[in-house]
Amino acid sequence: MAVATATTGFERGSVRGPLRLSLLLLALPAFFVITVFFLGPLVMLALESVRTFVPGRVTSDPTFTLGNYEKLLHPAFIHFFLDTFRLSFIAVIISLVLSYAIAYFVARRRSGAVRSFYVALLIGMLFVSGMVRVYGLSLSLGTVGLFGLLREVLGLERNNILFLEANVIIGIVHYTTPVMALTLLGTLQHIDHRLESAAQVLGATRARAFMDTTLALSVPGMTSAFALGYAMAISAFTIPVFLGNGIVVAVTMLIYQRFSEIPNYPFGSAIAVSLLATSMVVVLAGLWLVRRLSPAVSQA
Amino acid sequence: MKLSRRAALLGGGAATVAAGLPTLAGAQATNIVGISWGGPQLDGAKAISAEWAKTRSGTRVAWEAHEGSSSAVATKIRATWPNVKLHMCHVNDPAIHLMGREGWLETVDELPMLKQVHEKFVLRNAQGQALAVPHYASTVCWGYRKDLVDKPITSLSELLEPRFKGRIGFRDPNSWSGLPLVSIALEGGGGEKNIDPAFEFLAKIAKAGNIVNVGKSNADVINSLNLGESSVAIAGITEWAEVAKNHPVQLLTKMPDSKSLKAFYALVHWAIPKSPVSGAAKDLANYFLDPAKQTEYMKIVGAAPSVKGVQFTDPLGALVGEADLDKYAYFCDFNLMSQEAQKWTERFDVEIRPLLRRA
Repeated sequence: MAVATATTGFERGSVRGPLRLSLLLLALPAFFVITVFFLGPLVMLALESVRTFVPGRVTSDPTFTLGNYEKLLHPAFIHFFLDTFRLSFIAVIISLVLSYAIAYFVARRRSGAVRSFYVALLIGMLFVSGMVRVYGLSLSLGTVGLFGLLREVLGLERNNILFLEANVIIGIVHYTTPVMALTLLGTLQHIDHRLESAAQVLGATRARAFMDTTLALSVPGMTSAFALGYAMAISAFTIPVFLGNGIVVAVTMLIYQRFSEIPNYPFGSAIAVSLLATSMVVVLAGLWLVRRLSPAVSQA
Repeated sequence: MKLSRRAALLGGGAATVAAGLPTLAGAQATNIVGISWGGPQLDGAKAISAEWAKTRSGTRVAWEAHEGSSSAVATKIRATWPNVKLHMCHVNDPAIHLMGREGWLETVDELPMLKQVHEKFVLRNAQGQALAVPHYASTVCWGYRKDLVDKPITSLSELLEPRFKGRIGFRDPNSWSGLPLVSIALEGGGGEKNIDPAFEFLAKIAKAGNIVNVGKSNADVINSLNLGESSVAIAGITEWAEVAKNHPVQLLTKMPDSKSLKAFYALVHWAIPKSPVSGAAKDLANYFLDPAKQTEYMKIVGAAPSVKGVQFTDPLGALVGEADLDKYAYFCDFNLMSQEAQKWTERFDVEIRPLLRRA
């Protein structure tokens, strides 16, 4: 009863008076941290993106301009954005399938110790430095690696764009799969596996039983894992740099170049703001679409 | 033994004071943070600065490595200015021009060893003050792996030939503030002031599918050549030296009839940003110019010293003697290039990269 009362107390619009004030005060430190360390830099980035670049200078001119955004309308830059979204999408779809299989396999282990072992393996992969993983992949996929041999067998040139894009996609899959599998594991562990058995008892085939119970119930988890993986893929930097040979260009590479090497902060900021905005639109549109389709999936 | 609250507080207070003493002592120490390129440059810098630190009690020197172009230092300094966290920066000319324009650098005219440096190496501001301490001269040049190229290359225009399909390692266009582009522009009669020929030529070799990669860092270029992914490239002398350890290489620096196959000199300086420890940093930069230290450093790095009369070796033949400087060496206008590099990089992004994808 106590729990029920407390739950009722936190329902939307039901908190009144001193309790509401206490809650607001409790939220104040978190609000402060988010404002200073998350929103603050974003606002500064947005302000920098409308400043004027001065050739040969590190600092920019405060004169307002939208020229940095105009430059992004060049077809070449539009292609860089589209390529980044396309490669990320393909890679994350592959990751979703792989991570679902891994998470399903782990969630269905009866022994808690065995499940813990597999979870530790997944977490262990995250402890290996990203650079080490990318260099390892670069050796495996490059000229002297297995993938390189396959390329030679297929008669493809070293700079074949499909080969290089495949390298980048494999790199992103390698990067996102453990995180997506861990995200899905939480969802799958909470789905009662007896539902599948019950469906089969009622005459459904094994595949149909899986689709109508476990898969349908795990759609919210899959959506979260996809959104997380997609965000990781779009913001990946070392993977396209090392596996794309400078021919596959991700938007993050353009940002790094402008912030670190040329340096052109205003244009770099405009690219970063545009990437953030377009990524959010893509992810939110994806989530909306899944929500629309989700009831249909569960009724299928 | 019974522990009273008062005794505990007193004990805790004493422990806090005792724990703080080393910190107070540490506050009086001079901590210099330097930055150089990873590999032999960093090894040499660490060895010589360690010797210097031994003679200065309470002084410590820590080192970081560049993650790409040395111009990135300017970005790092901007991020924390005026609280400078890099006190000695091993950089090429463009970075000095960038930081000099912002007024971030100490002038170094008072350093005794600066008088021993070749005057043409010293970068000065509009008031004639020296902006950095020239440390050594390195070169950037085109070259190839002899075991992977069937017949010698005598001109850059040969890179259009089908034998180089998927064989040329190009460099990020903003490397050395656009030096790779300038080298190609020279072939077509252009240069720093007219870069168009470089883009015309690059568009042709990109369309032909001859460029296999666009290297971003030293490691990219060394790995690509060592693994045989690329057989022709434009690279720095230290990068060529690394490849030469494993494969026969031919550097294209002494080509009497070529307009573009030159030894492109890229000087390396110690730039000292204004900071509370800039006095000590200047002293260390001066120490690096000591003839014995120059000899020691050049042995590690394989470059040419900035101080007159210091002996050095050049097993790859990448450097040019004083008598042949006019014939084989090229000194870029890095001041102009540091202002143009941004425009060139954007042009490369919109004109050349799409062609590389379609090749």
